[in-house]
Amino acid sequence: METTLINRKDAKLSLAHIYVGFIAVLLGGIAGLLQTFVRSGAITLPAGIGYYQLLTAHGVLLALVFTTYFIIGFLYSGISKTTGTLAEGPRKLGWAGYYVMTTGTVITTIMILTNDASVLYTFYAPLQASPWFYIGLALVVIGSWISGAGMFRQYRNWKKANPGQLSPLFSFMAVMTMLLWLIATLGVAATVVLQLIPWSFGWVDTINVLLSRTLFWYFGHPLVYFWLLPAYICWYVIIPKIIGGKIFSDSLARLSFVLFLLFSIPVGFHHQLLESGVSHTWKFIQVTLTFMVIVPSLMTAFSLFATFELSGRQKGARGLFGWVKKLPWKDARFFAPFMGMLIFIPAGAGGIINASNQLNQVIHNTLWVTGHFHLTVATSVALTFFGIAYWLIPHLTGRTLTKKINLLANIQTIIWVVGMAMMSGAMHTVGLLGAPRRTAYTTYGDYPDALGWIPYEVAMAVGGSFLFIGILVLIYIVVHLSFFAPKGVEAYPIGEVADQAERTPAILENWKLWIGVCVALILFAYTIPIMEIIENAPPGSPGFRLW
Amino acid sequence: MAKLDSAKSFEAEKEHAGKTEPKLNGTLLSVMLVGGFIILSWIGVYALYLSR
Amino acid sequence: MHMHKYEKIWLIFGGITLIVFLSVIGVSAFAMGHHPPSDMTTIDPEKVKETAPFDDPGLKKIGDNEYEAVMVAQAFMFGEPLEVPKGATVHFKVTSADVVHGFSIPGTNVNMMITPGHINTITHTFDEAGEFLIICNEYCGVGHQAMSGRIEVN
Repeated sequence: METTLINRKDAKLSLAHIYVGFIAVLLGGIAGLLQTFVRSGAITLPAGIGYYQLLTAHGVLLALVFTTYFIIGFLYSGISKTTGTLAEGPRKLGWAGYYVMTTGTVITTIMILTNDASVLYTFYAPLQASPWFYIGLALVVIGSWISGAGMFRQYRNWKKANPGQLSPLFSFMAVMTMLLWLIATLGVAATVVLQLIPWSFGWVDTINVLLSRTLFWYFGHPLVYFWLLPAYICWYVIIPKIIGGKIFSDSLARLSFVLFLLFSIPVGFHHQLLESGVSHTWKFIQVTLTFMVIVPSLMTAFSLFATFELSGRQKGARGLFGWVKKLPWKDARFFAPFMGMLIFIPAGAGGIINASNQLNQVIHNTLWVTGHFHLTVATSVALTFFGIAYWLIPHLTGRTLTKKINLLANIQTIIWVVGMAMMSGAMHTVGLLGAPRRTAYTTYGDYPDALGWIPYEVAMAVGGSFLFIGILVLIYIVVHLSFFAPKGVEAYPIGEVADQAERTPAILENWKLWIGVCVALILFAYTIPIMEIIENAPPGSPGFRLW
Repeated sequence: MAKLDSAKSFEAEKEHAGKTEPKLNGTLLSVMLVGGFIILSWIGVYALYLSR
Repeated sequence: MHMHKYEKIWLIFGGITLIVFLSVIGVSAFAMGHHPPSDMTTIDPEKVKETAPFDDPGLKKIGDNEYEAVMVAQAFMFGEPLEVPKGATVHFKVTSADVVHGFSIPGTNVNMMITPGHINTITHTFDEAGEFLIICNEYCGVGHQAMSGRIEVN
């Protein structure tokens, strides 16, 4: 079963997404490398390129384009693998989504290149970009909805053809991920379409800044779970197969995804803890809800260790940690995602600190935050995606992952971890000292504390250089696996559930129930604060172009 | 009726699982180490907050 | 749903830890007043300089070694340097005349967002003498990295 290649037409759809994703990695990586050099004072940019222009490109290309394209490509492949070849409708929707997203990506990128949109990837009003920047972003979101609709349809077709049966775990998780994305992006779509586009065209003079920020962060936190859940799919479904073990528990895996849907959205205020116009009480309520979303990650940590230990013991491992030696360390398909899991420990610990109400005052908008999400999305998620690409690309292109490329992939992982440890470690430390994020080279008039930050910024540049080398190695591997690796059949590893695991309760697949609870929680967490924001709104802000 | 069946099978499963509960001592210790790390880093930043 | 005994132990341990964290920050915020800055006052962002108290920004003594620092953040400055005696408690009252800015004093817990249309406030007691830096820690435009102010504590 696992050695059967997925339908070639489906493979083409997935590959088209994955290629755009990796082109974005290369371009975004170049921007990132230059940023670390500028920030540490090593170089100044030539030809009128702005630091903040690069920073906008870096954020948009890596955090939005790479992730979204890779995720949709990966999920489509897994759905085709587990529910069977895509029906005509879902595949067409997949392509329609792809073209809409790509049109949007191109428009947005052009606006950044022409310096009409140096507003960073969070585009906080009242900094005002060209309307085309927002239109491009809206198209990316709308395109992803179309792709999501394709996945929903394929899943529904399967359910109809298999009445009363439990859906394949991968397809359940993929649908959950796209559902989370759909509900979350309603917020950003609302601020972009109803506020930013009319205002940037000049159809309205002013904008409600706080409302726009609140709608953005309604989307901004589930966005990180949209990145994380596909990595969790790999950890829950793919990794057990690769290490020769079983999925620890199908029901607990589904339960954790249900909890992510419920608790990752009504929590956006933990990104706005230090701003005016939102009362203490509502901030604290959302902080409490944020703590609820930690629970499924605690469950995941246990499930993963248990999968490792069970498979190790089955292979004859003894003692408390004998199973560690039984893991396939030399297999890049395991090693890269495993390092991602390991890094998720400090990443998660940092996240709990960030969300802890007034503790946010210590780290808010410092480089600590940049260090934090370079551990979460740029290491845990990115390394897992790279680890997926090492077998997924050859599976899709009808080639194989050779021993040599496997070794190179392991080297890539080590380069990435070392570079990130340096860069993110320096960012966390200098952040605690108060160094701001999103800031070009500065000493604030040779202020002593700010001069003390420079050595850390140099360490960031050294780490960033490692990461850039890592990106070049990665791109070499991707190109090789796409066009030059020997022809053959690379397995699509899909794990099976452990024998002792019990039957999964059907309630976990009751979509109406979970969507209902999800909507109720969102209404509870947001209705009153948003009404207050609108009722007590100050006169709006005109747009500013300060770059 | 269906309810009864599922309750029955649930009990059966419980019994079955109880007998064969796998050995996961390493897992427990590992997650506890993770928990300890989370607690220590949180206390560290909280101390920094209080000292400022 | 069946759960391994150890997983129950782990989740109970994790749950209690999270409840302890929440209680510590909750009590500190609601019983001891250490809330993150959340001023609810609004202002017309296009008339900041005609609106009191921002029509007359600067330092005002309001009590025994207690001051109010009224400041307007705008691209790319915070206004004149401030000078306060050691041990002074300063209530910062800040708004923005243009885009979103940050307001942070490295080495202290002073850290807040300044959104146009809103006023934000935070209080800090300067127990040590020296020069303190105020920096904008939210991207606000091409000169963002230069946006800073000074507080002299004697």
